[in-house]
Amino acid sequence: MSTFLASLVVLISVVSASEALASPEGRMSFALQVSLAPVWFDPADTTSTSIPFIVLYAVHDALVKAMPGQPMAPSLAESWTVSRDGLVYEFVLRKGVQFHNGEPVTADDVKFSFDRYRGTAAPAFRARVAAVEVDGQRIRFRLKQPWPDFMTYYGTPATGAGWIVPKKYLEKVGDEGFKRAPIGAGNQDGPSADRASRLFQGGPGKALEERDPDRQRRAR
Amino acid sequence: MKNVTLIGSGALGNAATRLEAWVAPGGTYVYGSYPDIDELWRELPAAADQKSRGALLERIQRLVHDKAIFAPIWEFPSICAHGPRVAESGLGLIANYPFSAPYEELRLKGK
Repeated sequence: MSTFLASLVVLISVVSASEALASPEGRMSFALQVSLAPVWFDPADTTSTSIPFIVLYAVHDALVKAMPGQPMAPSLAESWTVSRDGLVYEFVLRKGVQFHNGEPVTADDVKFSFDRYRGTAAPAFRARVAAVEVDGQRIRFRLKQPWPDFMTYYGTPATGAGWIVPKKYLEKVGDEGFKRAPIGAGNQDGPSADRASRLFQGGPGKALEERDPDRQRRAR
Repeated sequence: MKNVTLIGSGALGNAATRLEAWVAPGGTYVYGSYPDIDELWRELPAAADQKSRGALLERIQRLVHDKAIFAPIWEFPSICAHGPRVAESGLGLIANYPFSAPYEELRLKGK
């Protein structure tokens, strides 16, 4: 796995307290290198840090995720409702959305993605979610008891549980195969980890040149 | 020094999601427990309205502070920068998210 250089070159003027009024002299440069960890390509492995979302926001998409001005923006889900007793969250899946391989994003993929999520918050979900039901374009999460933080867990970068992977493809290539060649529903076509690495190596400019205008985010 | 762990997390979420990982019984990074904190945590699911939930979460956080369970020694400043070709970096577009996103918002300056 190649690495990419987050080209953070920051110039810092070195000024001591006694020289506070003097003009800054000299400069210090530093760069930060981040290894592109294979686990970041798989939402199921999202740990309790925000770093994997650097990749998730490119390659994958979620039912609901944080977007500008919207802490929980409908994305693969066009809407959701909560039952009056707080026990049922029902999402309506957006129609016509495809993974990078052309397969449609289905409610089965949503259930599959949730069931295989094994990140940091997996015990919290297992303890509180009684069942996930698929009904056409709808997905229902039945809770064992009211859980006011369900959407914070499921629909924000608090966890990666709401990010959707293609069931058929994953069953075909397996967990390791998926990390080598992730396929998602994100705005960066990601048929292979190598290509994703290239995008990041090239920095935002390269990513912009290679992005597919048809995949511009559907939700605003 | 014994029984001291150096840990760090950039997890997003809210007070409840972070307390669950770091303070609540059985949390991922929880070593040991305090009966008063555990009791307040158990009361949380029953507190449906925002006001009572907020009060419970505040009491838990105050206990965490008073017991000095954590000793903050470093707050990651999340310094970000971008090059001169970038018109819209995406930094700061999503509240509380430290990185550039969403990528479809990024813009380069005209060539």
